[in-house]
Amino acid sequence: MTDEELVRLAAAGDEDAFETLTRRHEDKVYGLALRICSDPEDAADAAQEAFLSAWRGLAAFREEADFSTWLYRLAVNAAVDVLRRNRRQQAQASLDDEESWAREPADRSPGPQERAEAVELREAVAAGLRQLSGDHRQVLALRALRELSYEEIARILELDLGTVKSRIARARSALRKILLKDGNLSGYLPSNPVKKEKEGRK
Amino acid sequence: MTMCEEYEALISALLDGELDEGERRALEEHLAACPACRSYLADQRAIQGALEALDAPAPEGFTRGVMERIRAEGRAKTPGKVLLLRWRGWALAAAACLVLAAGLWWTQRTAPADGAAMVRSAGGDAAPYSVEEPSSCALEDGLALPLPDGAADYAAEMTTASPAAAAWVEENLGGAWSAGASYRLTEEEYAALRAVLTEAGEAFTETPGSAGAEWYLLTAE
Repeated sequence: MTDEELVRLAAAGDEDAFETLTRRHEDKVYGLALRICSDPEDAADAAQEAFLSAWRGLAAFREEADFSTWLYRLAVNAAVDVLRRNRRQQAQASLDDEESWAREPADRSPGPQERAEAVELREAVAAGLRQLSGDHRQVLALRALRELSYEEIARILELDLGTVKSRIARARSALRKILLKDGNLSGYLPSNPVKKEKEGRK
Repeated sequence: MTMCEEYEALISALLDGELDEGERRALEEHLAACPACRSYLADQRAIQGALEALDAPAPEGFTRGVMERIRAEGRAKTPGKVLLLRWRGWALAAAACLVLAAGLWWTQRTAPADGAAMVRSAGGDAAPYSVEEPSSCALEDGLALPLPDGAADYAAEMTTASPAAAAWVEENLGGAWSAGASYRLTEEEYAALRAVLTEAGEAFTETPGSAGAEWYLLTAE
């Protein structure tokens, strides 16, 4: 069944239809919240709040947007709320705990060395995300979902297209600056010619 | 070596596949000539890869947790509402009777000579007012009380402060509109009211209830 059909059933009170929708979108919504909140528990809270808001608001959801676009907007809002609520605790939480979510190795990295480097860069990016402004973190988190066009991101954040475009570019530059400052960028780059040669010889 | 800032947005859009053909060609030409921007693009590719790889699936049992909260909310809401409606109904009836009693008392107090006759007649068989029967308060029309047995939930609920809703209730349900009161509607009535409000551009909020429930609930704000 399509999202639209499920949304219609769920809006009429069909809990099973909503359960299917939740299962279908849980990973994306959680991933989005995770990139905004950093902390897995906060992300799970925010994702749950997003789905609850969706359930409560279904009857008022007039299908003027895609269900997923609307859901991502709820998720961004919920993540921002959770961050606001937990700002104090978050400042006190240890970095180690917060970074653990970035440490899972990705299956697609082939060699152990490359994998270790990829994990290292991921951790650095996760830490860098936390130093970005909320606005920058939101656009990068949405962008990382891969499936969203600038236009969709503009709808989710209720911004105009030009703002989205420039904000994403600014956020990328800001993130790179943080990584460079912390010495976390040079040396990882797959396109770094010196390293490519070295790896080629192995 | 710093990259050329005027290409920041183009490089970003290239990564996102949001460049048109002309922009892409211009950027490629520039990249061929500018090592700093090439290195910037390489950095951004690596960052984008890492951002995407930060993905993690939702925790085990996530959907189950969401559904448990939804069901718990539904359960917690229903009995409270039924209780509230009953309480509200009695309270309104009692309040109405109080008003009538007070009116009676006032009439007796202020009416001079023939008021005395009225006091006497109020004590007799031909009492002009009755404070005994709440049904004579005529307040239950249109009010959602008492609930029929088994009607534990509603198909949907609407809350509004719209004057158009007030007019509709008074015309179609024969009940007075008062803030805080709830009205039980059939599916047809609910649809009709919804159409009236939508057409008038009036604000209302809706919450879905349980599928297949017979009644719809309207609450005046």
